[in-house]
Amino acid sequence: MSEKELGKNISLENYNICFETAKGKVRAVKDVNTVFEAGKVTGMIGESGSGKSVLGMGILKLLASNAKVEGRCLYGDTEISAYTEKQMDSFRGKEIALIPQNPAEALDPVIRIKKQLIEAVTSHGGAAKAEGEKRYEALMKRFGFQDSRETGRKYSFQMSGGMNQRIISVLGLMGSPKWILADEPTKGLDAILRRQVYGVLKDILCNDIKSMIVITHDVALARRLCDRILVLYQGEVLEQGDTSSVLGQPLHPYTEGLVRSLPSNGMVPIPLPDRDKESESKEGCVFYPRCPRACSRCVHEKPGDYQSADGRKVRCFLYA
Amino acid sequence: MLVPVLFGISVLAFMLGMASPGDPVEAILNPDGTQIIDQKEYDIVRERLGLDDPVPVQYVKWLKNALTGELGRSFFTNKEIKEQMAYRLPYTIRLACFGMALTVVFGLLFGILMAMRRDGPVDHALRFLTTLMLSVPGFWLAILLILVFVEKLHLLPTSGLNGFSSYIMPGITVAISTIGVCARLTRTSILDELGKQYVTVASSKGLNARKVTMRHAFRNSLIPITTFLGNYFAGILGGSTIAEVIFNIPGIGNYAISAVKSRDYYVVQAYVLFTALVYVVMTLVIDLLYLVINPKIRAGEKIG
Repeated sequence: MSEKELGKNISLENYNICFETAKGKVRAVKDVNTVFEAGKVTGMIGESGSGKSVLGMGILKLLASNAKVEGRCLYGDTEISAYTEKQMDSFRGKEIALIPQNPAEALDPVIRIKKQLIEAVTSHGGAAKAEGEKRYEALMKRFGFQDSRETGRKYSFQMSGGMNQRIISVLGLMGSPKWILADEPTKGLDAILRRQVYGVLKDILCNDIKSMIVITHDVALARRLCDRILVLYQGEVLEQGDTSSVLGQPLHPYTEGLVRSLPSNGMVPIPLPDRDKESESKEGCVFYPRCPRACSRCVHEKPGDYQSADGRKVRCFLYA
Repeated sequence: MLVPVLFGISVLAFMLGMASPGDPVEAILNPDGTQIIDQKEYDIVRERLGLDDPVPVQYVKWLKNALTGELGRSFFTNKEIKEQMAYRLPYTIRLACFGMALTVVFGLLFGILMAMRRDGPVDHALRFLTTLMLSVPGFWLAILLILVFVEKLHLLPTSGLNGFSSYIMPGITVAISTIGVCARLTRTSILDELGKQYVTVASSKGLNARKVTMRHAFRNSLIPITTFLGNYFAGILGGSTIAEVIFNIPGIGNYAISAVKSRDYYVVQAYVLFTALVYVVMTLVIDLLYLVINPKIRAGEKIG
């Protein structure tokens, strides 16, 4: 496939996001260096508060106004982190589209569904409303809404959770983007809906869009869907590499713990942070207070991204 | 719901007349307090006013008349209250509509501007201005306006009625603090909505900030704003006393004030009843407007 269809690589260089709050600076994403390859599905996994959603929203520059971004985000060779708001308007939805989390709250409650979906086409100008209508009809049919006219006249609060989930998937595809950024697609869903979401994303991958970033805490989903995995912990990418190797033979102690905590692997929890260790390490490794394999070096020194033999990058002194 | 409210108000309005100090008979026979009243004459007037009936009877009579629109005659001027109200109402309505128009235009405009330029110089300047506006007392502003536009600049007529220009200063007096409140309410409501997820999603579609604010956030923030504006409109429709008195507009509020002064309690009762009716009708109108702006209510059974 050509670059025209796949889009370009998204690369982050020394990427940092912090929030200015009343209680001071909160660093949500720290020193991320990675490349999201076009034509591949990259999963960002980590627990709540690990900064994965913030990182995703940072790429689209949809952060709250008190957020401050440092470092660069490149799309191919162009630096989108330096884009103006106006440039971002024509970039969002067209190059990278979002499939948001919480489907029920992702749609405007006072505007009919069809109108909201078609907006994703007409917002980019040029495209006529008729084109949006056509795309709307086709996508709604494909996602299982036989009566797309009737559904389009409804409001999001009249739909079930599963329907809203499919509608926001349609929303992501409306602008024919090169990339899809799926933010916590299975958050808060039951097993049946999770399977539906997996089916929808798989369908999109087979038929529409090959380049995708999936933000999730659902390791099982990530394993089935993603080619590459980024493991985040407290705003840092601790391990990144191919899915089979990262989840198959984890190198970083955190990834190891995460894999062992899966129900299929015996649900062994990662120990809670050690109070003493927590207070003693301020500059050291973020995982040090919980790490079973910590050494004295981890207390005061931050590990870099070390390349392992199979091409993975691991932020741990064990692989230095 | 509307009927019991109106009934309650009617009782209260009637009681208000009963409880108010002063004797209307005396007020009629002895308006300047210099005559000595003959007991016989006193009794005749008392009977003519129906004040010798027991209180419940008086109430039923009064209510029956009120329901047919017969509000009685003023004790004082002996003019039909109904006719007086009909004569005065258009002035009050004109003033209320003008005040409302000013509030809607400037309140919403300032509110939207502040929300879109959040924490910028425009926001700060307008926040200062609106705080000033909502803390300025109406009567003081009215005097200031007269001083500037009439005494110094000779641009507007002081009082009396010379077409539209005579409504400008009263309109500003009526609207000024509400513009301030409305603008701040609009600002916070929009900012509330802007923090919600559907707004982020709307931006992710590639809509620019202006469209996101106007098409999505503002439409959602209309719900609290409508309630506020509806109540305000009901308030000024009931007569904006201060503006009407200062600028000598013969509206309902002016009528009520002179009635209170002369203890003309049939008029006061009629006035209270009228304002209550206006409130009840406006509440109904607001509820109907909700149907238009909030599909959750329109969808009926599927709330939440």
